[in-house]
Amino acid sequence: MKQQDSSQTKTGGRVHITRSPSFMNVLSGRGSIAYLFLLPSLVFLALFTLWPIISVIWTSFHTRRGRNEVFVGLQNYERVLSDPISQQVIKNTIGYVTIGLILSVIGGLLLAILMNQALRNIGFFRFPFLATIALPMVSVASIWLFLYSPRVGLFNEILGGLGLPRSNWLSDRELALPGLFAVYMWKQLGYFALFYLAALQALPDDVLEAATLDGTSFWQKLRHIIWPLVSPTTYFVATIAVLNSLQQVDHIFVLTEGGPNNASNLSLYYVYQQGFKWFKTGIASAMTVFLLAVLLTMAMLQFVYLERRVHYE
Amino acid sequence: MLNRFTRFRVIALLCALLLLVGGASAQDVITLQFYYPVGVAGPLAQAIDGYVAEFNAAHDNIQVEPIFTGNYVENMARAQAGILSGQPPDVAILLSTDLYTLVDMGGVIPLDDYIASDDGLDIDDFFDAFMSNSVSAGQVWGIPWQRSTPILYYNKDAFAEVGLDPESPPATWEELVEFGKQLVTRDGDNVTRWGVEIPTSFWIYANFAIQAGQHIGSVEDDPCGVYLDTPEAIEALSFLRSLQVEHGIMPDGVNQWGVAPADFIAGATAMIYHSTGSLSSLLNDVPFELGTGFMPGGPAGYGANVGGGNFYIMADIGQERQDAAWTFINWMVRPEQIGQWGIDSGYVAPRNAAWETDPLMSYAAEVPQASTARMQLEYAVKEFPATLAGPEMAVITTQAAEAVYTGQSTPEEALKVAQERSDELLMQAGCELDG
Repeated sequence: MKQQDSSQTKTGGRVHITRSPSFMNVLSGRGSIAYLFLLPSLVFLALFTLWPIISVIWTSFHTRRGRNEVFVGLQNYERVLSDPISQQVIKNTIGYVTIGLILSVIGGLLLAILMNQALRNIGFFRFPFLATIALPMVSVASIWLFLYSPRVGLFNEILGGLGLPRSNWLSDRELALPGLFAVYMWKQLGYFALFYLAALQALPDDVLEAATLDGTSFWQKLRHIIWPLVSPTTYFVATIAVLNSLQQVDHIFVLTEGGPNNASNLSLYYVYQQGFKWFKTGIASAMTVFLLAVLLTMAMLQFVYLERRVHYE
Repeated sequence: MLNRFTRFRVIALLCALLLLVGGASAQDVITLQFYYPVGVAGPLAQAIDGYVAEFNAAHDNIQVEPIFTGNYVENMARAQAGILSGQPPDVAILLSTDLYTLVDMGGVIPLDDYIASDDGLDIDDFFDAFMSNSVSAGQVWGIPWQRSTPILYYNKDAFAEVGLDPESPPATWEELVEFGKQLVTRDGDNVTRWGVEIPTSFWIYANFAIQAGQHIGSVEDDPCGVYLDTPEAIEALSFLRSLQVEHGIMPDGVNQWGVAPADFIAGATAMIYHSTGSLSSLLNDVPFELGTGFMPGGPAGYGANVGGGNFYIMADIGQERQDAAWTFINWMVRPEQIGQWGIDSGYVAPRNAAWETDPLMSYAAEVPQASTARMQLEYAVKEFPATLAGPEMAVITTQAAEAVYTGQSTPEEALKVAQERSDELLMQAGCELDG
């Protein structure tokens, strides 16, 4: 009470300082209390993050025979790398994530620029792109299932109406994966654009105005002013885009189940197939460890390299 | 406000009530966990919950708790996880083809002693084709419940329109092609109605192999029997591909299981192959006269493979609970009960007596389409893939068909790859294969 009274006579900044030592005391001197407060989150972290990781690594070195888990060394990893189906799954996943990353960044930024125009009723134009974010993936995929439907679907009705040959979208080896990808992009592009829109609206008007007065073209502005200034957002969007495209699995269940002949099978669905459809927990765990390793490496690379180049104001 | 004495009395009363409730439930009432999946369209979960409620009302000492667990795959995953962790359900409906996997894990018990007991069951009354997936090593492990077989559905109006007899569906592969060609309609280059649409699935393809003379799975009690690279199996897949390419009566590419009925209802195809389990919903939804027939016969005549789920009783739950589970199963498969299930679901009631008892007897007289699948059972054999690693085998076989339908491989190549993959799986599962 006395301390508080005395600090009230000082400036706002000093108030904070006079109080904080007592808080620091709790952390250092009576550390046990701090740990007590941290305990709930530590318990959850250990139970739901650390333990599953340890468990998945353990399982990846075992295989199930009857009711027993038998140690098999690296056999599961060898199988994941040598099996033609898992090779195709890895190839599919790399393509999906790479194209997803590029389109999320470029498409997201361009869409945001369009949505940032000073038009009347711009909200009307923004709404449809942002509305897709709120929809659950399963509903989205169910709608697209009808659009793609080979005989009664909208896309084929349009093609047929124009006198063009119809396509068997999701049952085509070449088109199944792009078909899934289109659904994912349709749903998520607005999400990425939303971050860019926020970044664009925070851009300093004076710089852009000066550029306009200097007679720069749109592309020059985009290349030399907007792109560098939104780079923190690009960094963020890129990270989210990679994570998102690796995590999306719902639309595979609804649309293709990985078919035809694994043409649209992605790593997470493969893990589900192996682990829960066929109870090959060893193979599923090995694939999961690979995913984990890739994600961790990527995260570190991004921290080390990208973080340095990002232009923060 | 309560005074102290009243409060004491209230608490004492509550304690006494709790004791009473606890005492009553400890006294001989067995609560069984019952896992079941739903594999076809329709409000089937509601029907099953209804039957269970009736059972519970009629039994003081057994209460069954029905637990809907999703589709077959999810249901099996949950049951397997339960078995492995020592906390299985008590009774479950699982695929008949999961038999070997379940026995291999030591997860289920043989039912012969129950069948022969005082509260027994006339097991010979069940159709042979369904029992073939329920018996192993001379013992009965599963009681047929939701069992099916594919049949041919056709549009009688379309038949009449092109001058075919609406009462005679194609009986042979040749007739299938011939009728199919007549039924196709075109608008320029685009086909507006296909002759036939056959879903791309191991379960449908297996019938064609049987019709060609060689089942792709074993018809005997053999957990290691897979015959995907035989000449007959190749002939069957080549015939299916010819419907798309050579004859142009079936949509090219992969035809999805769920799309075929939708196309049929919309008039985009004149015939489909589908599960008899789709009968109820098709009867409701088609805007034309619905015809049903046997799947047309191949070089070896008619042929079909069966499918669907059986009741199993789990191991490691104690004799008392197993006895109670048997009482429940035996109640569910009573002729009138399982007959009602056949009407509610479209599944083939799996025992003779059900067809000679109301309500199914009168229903079959009224709806002749309901009897097609049962009559086709005469030509039906054990379901593929009744082997170890069955679920994965099914997917491998479907993928071989997909590779052919998308023009990626020839039937020979695709089936050779499938055979190699399945041999590898079988060996991993402990089979000893020659060669």
